[in-house]
Amino acid sequence: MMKRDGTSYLYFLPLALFIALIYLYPFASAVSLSLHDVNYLEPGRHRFVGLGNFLRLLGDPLFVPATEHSVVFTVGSVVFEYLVGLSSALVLNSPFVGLKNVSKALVLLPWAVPIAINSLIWQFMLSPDFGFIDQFLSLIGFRSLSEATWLTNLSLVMPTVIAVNVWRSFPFYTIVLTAGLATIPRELYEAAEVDGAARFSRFWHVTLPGIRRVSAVIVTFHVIWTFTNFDVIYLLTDGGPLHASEVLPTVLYHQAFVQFDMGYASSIGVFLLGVLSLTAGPLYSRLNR
Amino acid sequence: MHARSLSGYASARRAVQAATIFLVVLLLVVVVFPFFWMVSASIRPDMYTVSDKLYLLPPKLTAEHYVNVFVNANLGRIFFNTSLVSLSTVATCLVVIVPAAYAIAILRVRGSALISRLVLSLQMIPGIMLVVPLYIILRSFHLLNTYYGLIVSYTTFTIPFCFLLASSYYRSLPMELFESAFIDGASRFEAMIRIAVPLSAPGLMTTGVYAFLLSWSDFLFANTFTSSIATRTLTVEVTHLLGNWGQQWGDLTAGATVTTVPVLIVFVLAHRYIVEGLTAGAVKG
Repeated sequence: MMKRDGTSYLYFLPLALFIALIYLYPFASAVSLSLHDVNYLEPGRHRFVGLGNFLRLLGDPLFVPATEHSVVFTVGSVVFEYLVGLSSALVLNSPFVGLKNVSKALVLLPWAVPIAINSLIWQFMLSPDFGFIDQFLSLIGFRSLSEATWLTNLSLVMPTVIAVNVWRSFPFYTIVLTAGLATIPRELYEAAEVDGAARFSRFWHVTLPGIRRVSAVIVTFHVIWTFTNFDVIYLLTDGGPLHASEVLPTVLYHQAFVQFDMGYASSIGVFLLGVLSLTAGPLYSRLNR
Repeated sequence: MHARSLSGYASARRAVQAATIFLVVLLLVVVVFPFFWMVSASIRPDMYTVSDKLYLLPPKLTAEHYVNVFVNANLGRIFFNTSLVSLSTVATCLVVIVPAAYAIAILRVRGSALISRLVLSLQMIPGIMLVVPLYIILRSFHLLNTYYGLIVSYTTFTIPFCFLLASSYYRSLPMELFESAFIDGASRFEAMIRIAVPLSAPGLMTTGVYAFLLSWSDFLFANTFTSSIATRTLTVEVTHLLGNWGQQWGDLTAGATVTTVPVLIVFVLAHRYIVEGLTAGAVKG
């Protein structure tokens, strides 16, 4: 039998060092920065301000709109990702569909390609006049819709960035939910059929409960990822036009790497993490109930 | 009567079948079309892209955009940077997580559950929050604009996920093998190198593929920690290809295609591992 003594912990040493170096130290310094007034454009400036940065954040004219956009972006994305992901998983799961593996591989494509590339392709397809979307709309007769400037229109910009984000993320749900559907025992469906349950009732009473736990996991993770996502909006609109798609991560980035206001930027990061740690746990247990 | 209801059933079935196939085709078109459009725009002169008329296929083929990005934008160098940083991240990540996953799943040290939970919660700390302190740390160690700086920052998002993936594979290895090896006098280190690593090769393959795709895809850290072409990566360079007038769509899509090709190759070779890893994370998780 193997020994269990202290030297086994040596196997954790590399991981422990890395965690200390790349997580705990940066994390601690982010928290510490959030309590200081530090601006790299003024080298001497470094003083303790307590919760000053957080008070400044609450009074920032961008705080309320950016928080609203972050919530709309997160909820809108996750709801539609789940709906599209589940529908496509059900369709791909159908016995009528051949070449399942090829189809699943193709569906996963938008998720595997770098977000930056996806965002740029969509920026290209959504450009006014010559962009594919506008050309296609005018080709099939929606001439008035084809005049739309998707990413520079104040009221269309949020739905558009959400749509692009859904396109890029739903494949993850499709693949995981397909695997989840495969774990539901066939006998449950047969029993439901014997009991005379209709198609919808089988879906409601067998399928949905069967994928509940997997759904809770992927929805919770996507809430976290979407709320903190920077790439999609930064590359599509950089928060514009006129801050109409500004979210908390783009405000943070702007404060840190345009204004070099490191203390204030860190307080936005701490705020993001605070919101997530208060909501992600309860959300997961509620979904998984 | 009976015959008619049977044929009614058959035609209803055919209708469902047709609708399903239609939906699958629609799904695949929506998913694949933007990539087709990217390639199509990269091999035609820009005048056929910025045009009133929609050309699905290039009316005239050209390699000018690929020549442009490789000659003028030095994309070869940037391709090399990205490959070097991604592969180094994979190697670093594996060296760090293999012993730890082995200690958790095979040696079963006390506190394993706590360590797993700690690493899982680290996954919640977003990159956008780490970007500021990492910038400050890399700056003070003069690691901005270096490969090392990028590799270190990439391990922040590869290590937690890859550790969880690898330890779930290690847990599926048969314990008896290790117990009999220990009875035969093998040391814990020998058992790791001779038994655990070879047996978990498919799992480590999945882990490595993930670490690679995640590193290859990074935009935030590379965009912040590199300012010159010497260490810039593809995702960042592609955003510069549109040119000063924002009109060079051919160059941009050529760069985007070059960035996507390695992803496609990994995808074709390791698709099974990717799907397995993805579902292992969430279904068993």
